Amino acid sequence: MSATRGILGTGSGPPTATAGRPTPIPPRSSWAAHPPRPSGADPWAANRAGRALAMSFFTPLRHGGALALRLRLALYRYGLGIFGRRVASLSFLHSARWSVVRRLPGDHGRGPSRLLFQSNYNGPWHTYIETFSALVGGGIGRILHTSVGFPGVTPVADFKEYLEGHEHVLGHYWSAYQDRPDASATVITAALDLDRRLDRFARRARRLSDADLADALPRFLTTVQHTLGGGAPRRAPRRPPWSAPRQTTVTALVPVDPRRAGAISGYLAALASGPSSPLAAVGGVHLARLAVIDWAQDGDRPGPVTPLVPPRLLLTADVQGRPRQALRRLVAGLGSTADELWGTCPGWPGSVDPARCAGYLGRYRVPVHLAFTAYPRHTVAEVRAALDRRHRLLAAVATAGGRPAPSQVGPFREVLTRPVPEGG
Amino acid sequence: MLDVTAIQGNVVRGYPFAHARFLFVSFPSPGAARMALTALEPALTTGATWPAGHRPVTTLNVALTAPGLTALGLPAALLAGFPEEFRQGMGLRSRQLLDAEADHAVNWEPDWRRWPEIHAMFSLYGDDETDLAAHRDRLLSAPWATGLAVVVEERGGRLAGGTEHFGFADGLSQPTVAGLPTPRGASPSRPPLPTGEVLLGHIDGEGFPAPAPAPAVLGRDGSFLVFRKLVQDVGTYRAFVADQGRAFPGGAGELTARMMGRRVDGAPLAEAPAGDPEGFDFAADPEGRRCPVGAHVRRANPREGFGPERGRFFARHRMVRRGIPYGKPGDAEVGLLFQCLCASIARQFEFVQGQWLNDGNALGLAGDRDPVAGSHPSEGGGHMNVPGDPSAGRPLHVVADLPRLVAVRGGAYLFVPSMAGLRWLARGGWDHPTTAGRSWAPGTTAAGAAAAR
Repeated sequence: MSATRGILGTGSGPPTATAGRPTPIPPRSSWAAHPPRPSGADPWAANRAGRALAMSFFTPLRHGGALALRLRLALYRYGLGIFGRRVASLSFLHSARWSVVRRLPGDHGRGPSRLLFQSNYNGPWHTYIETFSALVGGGIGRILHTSVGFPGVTPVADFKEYLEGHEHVLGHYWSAYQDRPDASATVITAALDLDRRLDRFARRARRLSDADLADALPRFLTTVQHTLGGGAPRRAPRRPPWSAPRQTTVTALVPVDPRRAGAISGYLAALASGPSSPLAAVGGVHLARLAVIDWAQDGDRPGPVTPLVPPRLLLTADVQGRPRQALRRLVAGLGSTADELWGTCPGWPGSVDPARCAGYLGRYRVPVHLAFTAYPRHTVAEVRAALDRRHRLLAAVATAGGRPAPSQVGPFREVLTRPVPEGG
Repeated sequence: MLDVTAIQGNVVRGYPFAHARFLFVSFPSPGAARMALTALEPALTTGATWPAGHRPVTTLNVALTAPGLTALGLPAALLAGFPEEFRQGMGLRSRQLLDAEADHAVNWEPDWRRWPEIHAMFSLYGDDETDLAAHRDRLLSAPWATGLAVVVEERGGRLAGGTEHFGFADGLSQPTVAGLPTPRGASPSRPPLPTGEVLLGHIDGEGFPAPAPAPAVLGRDGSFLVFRKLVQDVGTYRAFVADQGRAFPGGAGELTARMMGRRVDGAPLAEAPAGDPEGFDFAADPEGRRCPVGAHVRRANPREGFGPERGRFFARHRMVRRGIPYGKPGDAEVGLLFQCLCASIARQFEFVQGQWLNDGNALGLAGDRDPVAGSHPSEGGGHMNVPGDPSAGRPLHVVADLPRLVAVRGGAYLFVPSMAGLRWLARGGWDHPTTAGRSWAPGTTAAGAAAAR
């Protein structure tokens, strides 16, 4: 996945010939070469859950950069909304969160302020960065411009190198939609749009006879065909995309005992993914990630990373409900897993008391200063139901055609009848 | 101005010849490899324009794989300057290409399963099969070819009427590349590709010199060539079209046109300006009512179907194609020897094949694969939406149970060096300090370009 450029690092200049010996090729000055990565053919596998990919990176901020960045993020949040509309037009983005971390919990005044960026997207990684850079490059550049060492969004190869040098491999990444190959952000928003239109049409269809329904269906189907795979571009929302009435993000960075960090990493790596993950038991979680953050790239040029002492356990979850309730539900749902993860952190109350654990984690919360969510008004159950409904409508059209006979409208009536959402 | 005589001819133009031979060879030793390149270099066809009436009888060009560069003796430090996907080879890229398991390298043809042994591709084109065979025999019996092993040999031949094996007129849409001769049939209204989208070291679509391996003499004016042998299951195609065509509004002819995005005579479904059949864009048809978004032609190049801004961004995935069919109608195995040229295999070929053909999510098509050229699993079951058009009285139609029509039999990623690059490789230029010291030229790296500005 490295953004190999094949060109020697910036600023190295032409090599000078030494008489009689071949000119040595200067080493690649590459950001990407420094962070520690898991061994194996696919070190980034832990950042994938079905169609969803996770990105998490910290960048150090210049002196005064934290305030400037907070102002910039507030401007995007409450201002004209151009940046927001551009971000919202990226159909492959489930969510994106920007946090300014003044100092890491447990840092005692050392270390720079940092930007923490986290997103859930559909990839691949290269395309994601290229698209972001091409379509939202100005806004992204202005956000990252306070980050130390940032080379600019173009040439995109340099931008990719920089990101790869700051991006973390997760310990565990979970998606509520991992079992569904059709659950990309693009399809989810299309399915939710289809859901609304089906409900509106259903109110009329209830009163129609089979013959009349068969008459009305072809026209209706062409009005929703763009949600079934017609490729029409997503219209930018009128309202700013930053508010999420039914979804919240909780991010906690808890210092862990350095002697336990390795064991926690191992525990995370061994966790089952998908429906068997401990996160599946929590309910109401769209996407969640856990990682032991034990290094940071704080340099202004490519170089060794700084070990973070103590390491921090990052938890970020996109959940239904308000943050305090969300943390309580998380701990209650994780049960003994929560003790495995935070049990050795000083003062951990124990998962038998989820409320106190929520308070504990709340003390280590990292505020999210700018948050984009692609489907801010829907619960996990509603998203899954919408995906199912879309799938069944496609099957009905595949069997009966787009102009069904009155005798064939049965499957369409079933789709129009609102299904009971599955629990949780 | 580009010096086309410094660039290999197959990069500069699509050869108009009827037949082709591709010899994928393995060198026995670095010395033999360099001797072969030295002997071949004067005989290679460059991009020089052929005077009227003086077309060569046959053409010859050379391209090298990553193992081939190593076999020549190129030091590892210099090979590291080539992109990762090129160094891995197509055989290790099925995950990025989103190929179905049946198209993974372990399932390629027996000869093609030996793809890691391939060092170089000699490509020969000619109008006369006998001349071509004679040229091939001369090559293989030359003194420098002692010990050379032919791993795979492929033969291509154009079909009568300029179609491919499913019956569609082929090779119609070729981008114009700035600085290179305009290809036949290129549209005057479509924007040309910046030179660096095909030729390394030149300004690319981002406005920077396309990344090229060091040193400049090796990388500059070179290009990457993707070769992919695709077998076409014509029988299954005809049966499927006949069967599904019955239920399809408009019949089998409409069905095939919607799958391909063109009619069999090549006419695009999308509206094109008068007198400029290749000048269509999909801007007036975002939903795919005229040409479905999932149609092959639209997937391979969505143009302005998502608006002009995305259209400019999508143009970074365009590439020059050089494919030629293989097999004659009625043969047991027929198909296409797909080839394309690009400056970045990952950004151009792999992206289009993986994200646009073998998946549809980037285009709003969920996981649907290209109905014609997608890598469908062996059990088939693919699916394509054909949007309806109320003004034409056509309802939405879902084509279900798309079978596997095209299979990958083998393939390789190759580097086509410039003439100077080839000479440098042939004499082992990395061992000569003065050459290496003089080989830096401003403008071939972003840093160099900045310094020159």
